Amino acid sequence: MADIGYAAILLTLATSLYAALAYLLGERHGAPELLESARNAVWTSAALATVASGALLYLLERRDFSIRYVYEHTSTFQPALYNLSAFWAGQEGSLLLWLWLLGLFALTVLVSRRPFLQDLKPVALAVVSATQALFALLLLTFSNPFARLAVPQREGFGLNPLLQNIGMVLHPPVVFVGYAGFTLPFALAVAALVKGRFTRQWAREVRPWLLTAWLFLGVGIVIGGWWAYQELGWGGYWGWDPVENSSLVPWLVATAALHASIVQERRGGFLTWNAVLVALSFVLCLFATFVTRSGVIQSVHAFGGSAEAWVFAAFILGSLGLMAWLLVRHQRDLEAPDVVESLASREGGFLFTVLLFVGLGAAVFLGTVYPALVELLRGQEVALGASFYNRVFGPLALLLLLLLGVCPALLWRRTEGRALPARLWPGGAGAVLALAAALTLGAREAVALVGFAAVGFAAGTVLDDLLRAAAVRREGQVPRRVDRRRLGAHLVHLGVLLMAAGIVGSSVYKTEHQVVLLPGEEVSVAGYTLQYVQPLRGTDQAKQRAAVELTLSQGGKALGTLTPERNFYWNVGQVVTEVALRSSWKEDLYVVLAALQEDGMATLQVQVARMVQWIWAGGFMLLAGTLVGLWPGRRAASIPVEAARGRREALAEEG
Amino acid sequence: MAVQGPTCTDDDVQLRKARGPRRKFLIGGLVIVAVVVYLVASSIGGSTAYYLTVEELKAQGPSLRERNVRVAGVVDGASIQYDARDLLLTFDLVDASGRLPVVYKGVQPDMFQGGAEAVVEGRYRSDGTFEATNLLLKCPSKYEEAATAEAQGR
Repeated sequence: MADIGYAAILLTLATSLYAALAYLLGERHGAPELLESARNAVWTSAALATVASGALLYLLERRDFSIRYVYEHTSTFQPALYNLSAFWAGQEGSLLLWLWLLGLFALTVLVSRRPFLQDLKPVALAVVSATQALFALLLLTFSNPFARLAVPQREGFGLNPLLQNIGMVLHPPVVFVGYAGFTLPFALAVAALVKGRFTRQWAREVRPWLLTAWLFLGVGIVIGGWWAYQELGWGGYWGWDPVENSSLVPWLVATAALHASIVQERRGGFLTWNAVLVALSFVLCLFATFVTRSGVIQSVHAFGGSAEAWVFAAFILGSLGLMAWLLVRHQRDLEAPDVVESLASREGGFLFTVLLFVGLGAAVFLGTVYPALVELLRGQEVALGASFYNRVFGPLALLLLLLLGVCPALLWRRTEGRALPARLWPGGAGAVLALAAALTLGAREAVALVGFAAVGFAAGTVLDDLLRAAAVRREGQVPRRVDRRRLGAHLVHLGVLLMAAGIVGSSVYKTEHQVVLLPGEEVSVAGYTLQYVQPLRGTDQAKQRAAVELTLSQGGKALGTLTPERNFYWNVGQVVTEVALRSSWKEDLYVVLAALQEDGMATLQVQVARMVQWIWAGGFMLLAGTLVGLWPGRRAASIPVEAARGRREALAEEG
Repeated sequence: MAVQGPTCTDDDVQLRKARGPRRKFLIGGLVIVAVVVYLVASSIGGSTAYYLTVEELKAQGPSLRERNVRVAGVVDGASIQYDARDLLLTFDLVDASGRLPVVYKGVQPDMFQGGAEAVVEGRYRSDGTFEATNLLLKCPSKYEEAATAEAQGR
């Protein structure tokens, strides 16, 4: 089975290279039979990658410990789910997942019947195929998931216990769907530039792919934070680790691209912006894959360098070079009309949004590579603390919140100054309400008050715009249809606001207490009463268990049992903490078992952080909003601005 | 995002093709770029912690009192003392150039044990001990490598 898998990857390399070449040659010389064979090659690549992935899954499921990857990540006694999630627990498996996803995504372009895409298919699929070839090459050379052990083993090492969590079952594949997904907008942008089709319609046609990739990456990042919060035991969800940062950067850049492409779709502007942003999102995803797996950047996650770095770097530079060359060569196609006519307009709002997201992405990227740069240039080894990111991210995020509060009040082209107060007062009301609520509940810190007020301001205008849309529909001024994209966008924005509120609340209002208890004792901490019932100990094949059973109550009301654990896992030879958690909308009680003595004396670290749950709720809302916007259906919302303003003007501008 | 509210006429559009807004835009864009650059430049210095060897740390000791520095080394298993009641962890960190007594207040990290590769971040105190505010340990993947090496060696 391992040989079948390896052979399948080898053949994928051949077919994807062939597909790329045949598409380019067929396109150049107008040879339909070449194009036809390239199409077949794309199907074959996808099928072969599926076979290779199936082979790995089979070996994992059968626990064939003669295969190194299987030995490293599975064992006979770990739950079956983790034997399958081992597929993406290691480097080799995650690269194979990339290859597989690329193959499947290529098919979504290949089978598309949308007339606009027909001309773009050859070049776009050539780009996707070339990317597939890159991953096949990496799998064959540096990261072969089918490599054998010198001596087959009876028992596997097993998945790292830190990864044995539902969050880590979901996080990697969801993020990888996002990463691989950004290949398509890039490929379609290259094709559109080559064919002179980088137009308004391009933005509309590519939006579903861009939005899907963005959604998966965003949700994956939130799941990653949730996992870190549940599993790492330090009470935080984001540590500004290089691996986390490098997944955030493409998401920030892609967020900029999503906003810029609305201007391209509606007004035909921001073309160069979009081409650059789409290319950057793609190469930043490659960069993230490479950072996760190499030791170029000092990180708690990633150690151990490899020659893979050079292959990745070459491909990244090649992609950027290709885009730069296309932009210069097709400069004339990109000369967009000067769409921004006034500072106080939707276009203006979008421009500033794009600038701020790019600025955020650039700052996080710079912080991530800064230690490597300093070491390279000055030979001095340094580390950049989280305070850097907090200082940079805070003010820029605040500006974005204010912008989100202003934008729904702005009209396309130009907003009359007189009209603004009438459209902004709901935002003001929201800010006042949020501020009053925060003060009533006892918030006094300036950072928190400013943060909550900004969230309230943005929520006010966004909600007002939603209600306006509903009112207009009721009055029958426009056809009685739900504008799904607008509704979806507002839901996403409200989700982001929930997350922002949760981030402000949980980082400003966080307390930490240490308590030492003997069995039977109870203690009051942060308004809760914890009673230590008994220590729980035991030994099984995977671990030596040390846990304590606590009953939790508040004001005499029983809230249930908490069982923080501190287990020693044989395979990794270390302790793994299992946090006990009690969540509510108000706050999270987070209990870590710091030590358990022979006599049963337990040392507990108890943390209380406010509003953490709002972050996860915001993540769900972001997911729901994007799905509403993506749901296939009428395209009423994507009509250019001019159509809504009168046909005469529209015709004039379309030429 | 359908368009509502007052709409402008063609005449308005013509009027605004003038140079004014463009310049405002350029200024607005530059302000954002300046804000980003300022934030990055002003925060990066204060957040940077330098890696030093134990020897360098001891040599530069007095001048470093108030600076955040990092020292990487191996945890000496024999020196570990953990006061589970007060969560006070003391141990010696050893590198090629010397031995550094470290004091860390907090829960003993999961991966902490004798022989573990660790990075401590914090301040060098006048009594010659290092007060760590941060204790980082090398990632678990290291163990996987070790285990694999073991399996292959067998």
